[in-house]
Amino acid sequence: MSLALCVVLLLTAPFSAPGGQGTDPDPTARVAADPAAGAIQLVDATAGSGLSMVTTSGRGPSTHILEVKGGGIALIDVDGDGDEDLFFPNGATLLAPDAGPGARLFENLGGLRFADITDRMGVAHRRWSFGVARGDVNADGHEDLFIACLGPDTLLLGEGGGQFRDASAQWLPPDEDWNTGAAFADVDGDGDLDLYVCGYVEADPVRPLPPAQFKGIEVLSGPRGYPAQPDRLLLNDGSRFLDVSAERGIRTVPDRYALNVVAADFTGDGHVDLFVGNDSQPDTLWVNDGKGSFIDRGTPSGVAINLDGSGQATMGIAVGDVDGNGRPDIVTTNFSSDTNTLHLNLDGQFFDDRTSQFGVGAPSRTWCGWGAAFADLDHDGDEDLLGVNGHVYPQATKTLMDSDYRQPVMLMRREGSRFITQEAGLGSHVDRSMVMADLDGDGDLDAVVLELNGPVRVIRNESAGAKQPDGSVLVRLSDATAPGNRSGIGSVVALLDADGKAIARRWMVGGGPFQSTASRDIHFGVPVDARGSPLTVLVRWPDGTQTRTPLTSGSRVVVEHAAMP
Amino acid sequence: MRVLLLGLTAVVGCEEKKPGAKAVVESQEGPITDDVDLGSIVLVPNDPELPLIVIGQDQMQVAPNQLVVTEGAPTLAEQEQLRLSVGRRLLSGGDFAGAEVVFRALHAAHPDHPRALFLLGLSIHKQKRYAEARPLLERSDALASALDAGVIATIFPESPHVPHFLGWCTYYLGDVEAAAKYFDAHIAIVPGEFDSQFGRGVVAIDQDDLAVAKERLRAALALLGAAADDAPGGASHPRDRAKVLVRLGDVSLREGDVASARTQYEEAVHLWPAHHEGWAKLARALDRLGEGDAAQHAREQQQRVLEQLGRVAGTGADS
Repeated sequence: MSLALCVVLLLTAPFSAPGGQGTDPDPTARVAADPAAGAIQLVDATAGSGLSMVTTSGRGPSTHILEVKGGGIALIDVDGDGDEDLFFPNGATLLAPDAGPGARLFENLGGLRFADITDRMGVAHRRWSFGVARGDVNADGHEDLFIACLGPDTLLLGEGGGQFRDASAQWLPPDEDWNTGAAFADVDGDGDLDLYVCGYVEADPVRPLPPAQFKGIEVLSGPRGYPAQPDRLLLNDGSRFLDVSAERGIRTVPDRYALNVVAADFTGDGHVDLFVGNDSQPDTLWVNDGKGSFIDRGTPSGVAINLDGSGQATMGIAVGDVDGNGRPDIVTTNFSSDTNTLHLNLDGQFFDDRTSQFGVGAPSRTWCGWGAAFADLDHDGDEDLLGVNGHVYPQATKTLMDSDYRQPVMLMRREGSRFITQEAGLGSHVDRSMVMADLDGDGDLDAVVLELNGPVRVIRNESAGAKQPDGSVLVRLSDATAPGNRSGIGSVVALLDADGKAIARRWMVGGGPFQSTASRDIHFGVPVDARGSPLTVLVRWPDGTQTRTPLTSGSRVVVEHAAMP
Repeated sequence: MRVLLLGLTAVVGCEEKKPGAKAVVESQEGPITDDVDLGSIVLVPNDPELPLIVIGQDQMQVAPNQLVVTEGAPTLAEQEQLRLSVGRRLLSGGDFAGAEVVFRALHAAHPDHPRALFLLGLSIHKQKRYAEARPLLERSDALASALDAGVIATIFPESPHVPHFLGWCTYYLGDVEAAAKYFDAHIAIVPGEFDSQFGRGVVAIDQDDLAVAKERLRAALALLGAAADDAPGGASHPRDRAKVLVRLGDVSLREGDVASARTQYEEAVHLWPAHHEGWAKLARALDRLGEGDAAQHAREQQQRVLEQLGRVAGTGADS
């Protein structure tokens, strides 16, 4: 780690107090990462896992923009056994967009084995689907699913045991658009989950625009040329969602080609904000005024565009504290012949493109990037970066477009102040979505990857640094003060060492890597020198209160936020 | 034996091959759209006084000073002359796809000639198909390196500049280590060439080596200044100076010196008002300095430039 970075970290508070003032009394230093953790090793563990699903997204080779976005993944505990099961909304075809092969639900049996329990759902969802968000919208203790679709969206209310009930008609306002990413978050602070839905383009499945050109090659067109469709902010009134987009500020900017959204407190004022990734246009940072109304500060904050002043084709969004200043930084994945971009959150008000500084950009020039996430894969205390890639143009080859159609997984290991690209050894695919979680209960993070018109894959983490049972901490939040937001979306979680120094911080986000929902469990790798010593989990809950929970390395804990007597 | 008759219809428009010589820079492009251009390496009109050279394809051995030995192949000579002339004209005129067609024919006829490889690679490079261009340019470079310096200077006068294009080519493929190597190689051969100093500075930013970045960018600026001093009517090359200043501004911003970044960006857009990146970066710096109205003005300038260029505001993708 560079001296400069160490100094920055030593001056940093774990959390920012409302208004960005550093009044938090918590200790200020971050523990240095363990440099001896070694290489990261990931293994495709799909064979024999029972995760037998081939996704549908039109027909290959893709000829229409509808066919190239793929669908998302939701981690959801449908049976209440504590582990996370898998839901895939799945797509359809251009000729039958409402009659695809259908969504699939897989129960996590442990040991990275899964069982198809789609039949248990009680509903068949066959509309062409894209993003999926998980949350308990009716606060009944069962997690629900919002599915963003081509055409009317779907809300499936969980009823326990893997059963769902289609409550779209009751809960959702009419919407015929093509929606993509979606995120639950309590934007108005009333304790239930509201919903942000990304609108993409108005595209007729059977009448695509004429082909476009990319590097002199005729390719499928879009998003340019298609009309953009509006994003929507839906407030939860306890029994339905109300479209408040106009009155809450979302209509103050022109419609953009939105693909993905993450809800987190980016400004540090205690209110959950929304970062929206737009395709081929500047991104949007909706800053919450504390009452659930928003203004777009993407451009003045610097996060809407890269350093060159360009809006990018943002697909994946990863949130983590790269520089250790206690603020959530953002990595976006983008199109080929461009770079992924790291926006450092300087002070909650301004972001700075530090792609080059951290080595994130150059290796990504030949990739078309999608789902991405920060994760401490080797348990050395800092977060690595994992993402999936794959081009949208079937004609893509290195020779023709500087980028192949099938591409390797992005694995960037954090070493000191740089991310070092490492061969993932997982082959080349046309991937779209990815979620990470400790699916086999061994304390490290595994991944589930969704390929366009390909098999879903499960990736097991076999990194040597992650083998020790006391090498990590897993935290699940349980907010009893907000039954509708029990998982604590909007919370900030820090792991403190014995001296009270922050080892790392995480954000419990809504939305996620790409059109997907991240894990409910927050994972920390614990560097070797901090293992065996008392640790503390410090949580700042969405209502602003903080709790401290002592634990030891190797723990898996549920941190409760109890209602005041 | 097949013969290759190459009219030396293109030479570099500068004398920077002599170490220490000042570059004669002539930008061929309009407003900046990216960092890849011909830089100061300009193909100049055919010099009818230059000789034709006969080389054997097999070993690429050149008979020194062997002039216009057509040996029954005058048609071929004329054909190659025409290809070079037309291809050069297309390249200089910005019709890179057209140039590619012509140079593909040249390359097909003479697949092992370093100049044919270079010209084909350059025409592809200019179309931003870097992965395809790279092996052509690398092979050209390797073949040229194996030849006697005196010979190669005669049959392939652009050869010293192949590493320059390889620098940008590899940079845009994300291989910054190779890019640094190629720019360094070009600087060693042609120290007066500003665009490789600039490229090396850009690569150093990607490598987070800010000391080298500043050194190289300042060197590029100094070369441009020297060239400007020689230019008729005083200062010249505003576009190139602007793009170097913008990168120096990036370094300042990265170092947290927002005020200096602002000054450098302002100077850049003053020199070259069509530098849309410069306006965007100036807006970023002004926002950081709390000058929101000025930042908005800068963004409007950026938008105006983009509209003049017929470009949609801000995208990294062509889709």
